[in-house]
Amino acid sequence: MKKILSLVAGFFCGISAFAADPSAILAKIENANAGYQTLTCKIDQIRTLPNKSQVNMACDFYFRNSDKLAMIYTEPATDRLIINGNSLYLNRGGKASKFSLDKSAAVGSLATSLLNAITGHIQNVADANNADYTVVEDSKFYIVTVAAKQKAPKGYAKITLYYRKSDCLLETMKMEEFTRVTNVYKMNSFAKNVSVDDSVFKF
Amino acid sequence: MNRFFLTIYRFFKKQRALMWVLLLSSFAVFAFFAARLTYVEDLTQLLPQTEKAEQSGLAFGQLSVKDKIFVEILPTSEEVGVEALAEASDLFVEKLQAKDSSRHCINNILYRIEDEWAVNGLDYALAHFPSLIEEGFYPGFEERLSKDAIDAQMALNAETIANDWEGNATMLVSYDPAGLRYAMQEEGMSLAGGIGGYGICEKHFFTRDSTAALAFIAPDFKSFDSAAGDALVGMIRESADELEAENPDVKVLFHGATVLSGGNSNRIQKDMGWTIGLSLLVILIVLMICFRNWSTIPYLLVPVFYGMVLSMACIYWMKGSMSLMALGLGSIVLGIAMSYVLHVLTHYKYIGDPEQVIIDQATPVCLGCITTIGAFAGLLFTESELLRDFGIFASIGLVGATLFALIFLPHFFNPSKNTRNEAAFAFLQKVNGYKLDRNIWLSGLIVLVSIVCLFTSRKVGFDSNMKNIGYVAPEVAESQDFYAEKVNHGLMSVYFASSATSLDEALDYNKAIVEVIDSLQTAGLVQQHSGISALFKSQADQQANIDCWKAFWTPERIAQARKNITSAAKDNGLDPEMFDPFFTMVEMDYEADDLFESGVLPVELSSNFVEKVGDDYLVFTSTLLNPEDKKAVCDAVCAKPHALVVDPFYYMSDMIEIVHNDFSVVLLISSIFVLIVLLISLRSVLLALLAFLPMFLSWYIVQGIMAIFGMEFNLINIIVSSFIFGVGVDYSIFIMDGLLSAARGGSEDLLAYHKTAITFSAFILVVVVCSLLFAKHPALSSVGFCTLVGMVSTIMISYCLQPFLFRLMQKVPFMNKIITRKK
Repeated sequence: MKKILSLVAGFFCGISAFAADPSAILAKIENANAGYQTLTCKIDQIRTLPNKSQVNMACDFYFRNSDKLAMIYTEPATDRLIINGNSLYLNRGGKASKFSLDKSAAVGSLATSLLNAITGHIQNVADANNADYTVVEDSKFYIVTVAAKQKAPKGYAKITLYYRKSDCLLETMKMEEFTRVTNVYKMNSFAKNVSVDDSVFKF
Repeated sequence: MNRFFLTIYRFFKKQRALMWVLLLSSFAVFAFFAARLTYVEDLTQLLPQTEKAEQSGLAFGQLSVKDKIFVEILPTSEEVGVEALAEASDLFVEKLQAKDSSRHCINNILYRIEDEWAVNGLDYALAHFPSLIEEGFYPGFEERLSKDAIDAQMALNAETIANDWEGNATMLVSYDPAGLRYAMQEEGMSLAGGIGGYGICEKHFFTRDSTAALAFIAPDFKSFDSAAGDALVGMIRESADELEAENPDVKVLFHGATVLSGGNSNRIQKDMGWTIGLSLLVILIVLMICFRNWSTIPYLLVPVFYGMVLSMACIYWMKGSMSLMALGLGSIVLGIAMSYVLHVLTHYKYIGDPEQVIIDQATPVCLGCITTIGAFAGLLFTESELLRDFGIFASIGLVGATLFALIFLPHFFNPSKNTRNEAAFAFLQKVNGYKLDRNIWLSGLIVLVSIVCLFTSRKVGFDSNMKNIGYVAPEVAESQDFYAEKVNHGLMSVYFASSATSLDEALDYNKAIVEVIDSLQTAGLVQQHSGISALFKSQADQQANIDCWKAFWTPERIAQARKNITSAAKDNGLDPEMFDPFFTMVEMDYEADDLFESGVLPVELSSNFVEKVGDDYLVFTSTLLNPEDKKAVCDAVCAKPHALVVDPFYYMSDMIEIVHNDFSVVLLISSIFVLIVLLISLRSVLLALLAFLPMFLSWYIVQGIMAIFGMEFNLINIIVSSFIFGVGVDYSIFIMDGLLSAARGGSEDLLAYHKTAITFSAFILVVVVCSLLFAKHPALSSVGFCTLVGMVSTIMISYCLQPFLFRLMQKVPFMNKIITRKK
């Protein structure tokens, strides 16, 4: 009997991730993330190139629900990614670019993916990337995997989102491009509903 | 004729109220309909259509590509670099767009490459890549897909990725691990570094040497809309001034069809303002001094105004619209109408009896009017709507002014208040009394000049290039020269277009044009050309390219490539899966697509390549060539079906030659008509020929002197020269009338009275014409010269040669019998 019970316990303990009702999980994530006006955190980013070399980056993250997002990099200090309404501003290595989201499908998809990943609107992320998604959970996280339906020359092959079970905040986001460039974003030091100056979202 | 007008005068003298009712009501009716007349400003619509232009089936007024305004922002000091110029460019456009926000004169401004364009372009290229690849690229592809080539390229790829922090180069490597793009570049397919004669710096358009930032403004109206054009040019000027004030280190230049048009009309207005305005002031002062009556001015101007209003009303009833240029030119001709009024007025000043004025003046004034109308009526038979409008306006205007002068004007005369400056009139009579016809040397000189000019007149040229009679402001010329040097390398830029009702058809016709241009480039007639053949392909061509791609990428070739690339990637420490995008592209299915309709290319760029005008698509190819080769190149390209030159002046030269040829016919018709009228009126071939002499000789003298001085006729001054013809007719008729009156026992003073009136008329016309010599606009100053020569020769021949020959005729018995024969 003990053996059987041990086996059963082991079986349940051994399963680190198990399927649950995806709709319910997603609804929970959405509701939880609808409950704040602003969100700030720190992000540690690791960018892995196709030759396996890695670049470590860091930024301060600001989010105003639901269409303003700013990633102000501290490492490298020149970089910025800002989404404000219908525009996206990108500064990489000192080279600035500004995009109008309704004039560029690719940039619009990126913006949609980022904003909706934060707020947990997974269907929007999937639609923006012509992808399907699956939802599983483990002891700590709800894990959403958005995978492209088919291979494409450009875009994301897979986006994996880890939402903390405790408060449904996105703690880790892993974005894998078809070119095998991968970015892993790890969020920490969350603060909700803090005052965020508008100047953060200005270009 | 005298009896007719005298009867009318006596009738209205008893029925003053009826006269006023008729006068005022007729004027009101004419003014009402004249005000409803619309005006056509597009000169290209007014010139006759040539076969070439008709075949092109194109209304240039509708084309937008020719209306662009070119802006250059350049540094005034060496310290200003590319970044500062780019910022200045942004600031200039921002100011201009702010000013235009309420007026909407601007369709778009191309001055920088927007970030979305590159992203969208890449997305489109990746999705439609094979449709852009020509068959000729595949041998190069095959070379680069060999194992050795891939190994070599992969080493370079690894180095690229290791040094790429932004990620763009890595992305490019993943799409093209074998470096196939280099094979395409070797075949000449590259837009890198610039488009046409431009470079891209800091995402902004610059000259190739980066010395000036460029902007291209596409107006949101057609070039003949002068009001909108003036507004836009004003806004550009204000924006430029503000930018220069805030940034003294930069300077803004601009030019374009709209700017030229506005500059022309502004220059004409200024020139007309101070030349004709000043001369009119002088004329009014002199007339006031001589006539000593404030009423002289309205007496002079009201009949002319009445004639003008009658003419405009008649044109409204006939057509509803007229050329604005014809109205402008016709206004000059109405100066002749003023001379008829002057004859009536001057005669009245002498004799003070309205009835006697009518008796003495009705015949010569009507005769002058009929012959002058005959000169203009010939214009009704030309192919040019501009000349027809001019003919109708001038003819009816003269009729109206003449009828007013003979029917209504005498009723305003008040003999009890008839005054004149006796000293001035005496002076004029003394001057006119000098017997120029007795001066044998003068007569001989006139004959000599006439003979010389008869020969040299054959050499007078006609300049059919409309650009030479346009005014170019110095700052606009500076902009044009700068652009020509920096962008066009001193060459002339000419756009060609193929047109069809579908884009695919237009693209097919464009291929034929490009073939011709290629051969012309080989022959050295075209220095450079750029077009859209690399980007815009017909559906059939795209499908053919896609089929080539499919045929090239056999499963065996794909497998071999995958094997080579995987092996090379591993050798260089790269993840082979990073090249999945390349194999996705290789294995994908593709369809032909319409790049123009896809919206990928922004209108700021696409409008330089393709334009939709009504139901027609036009596909453009730009060339750079030497100006002297332009005609040969244009003729060669236009020989292809559905090909045309995007330069209305190319077709205008032919049209203007038609106008020129028309004009020669017009002159002949008018001459014959005038001669017939003179024959009927004078009832003598000899007298008719004598009266015809001044106009005949003066025309050849004008041509001869212009040839001697190397001056050419152009569209404007040749039209105005018909006005000289009309004046010559009138002067000779009045002189002949005076000579015959004295010879037939009538008034000896009539000739003196006519000469006084002629003096006033000639004074007015010479003062106005002389003032035009000082105009800065080339068309106006050219009018001044030929008209002055014509006027002076007409007067000299009428005053000197005509009476001289008349007196010679009087010495021959049978001729004297004809002269003295009473009517």
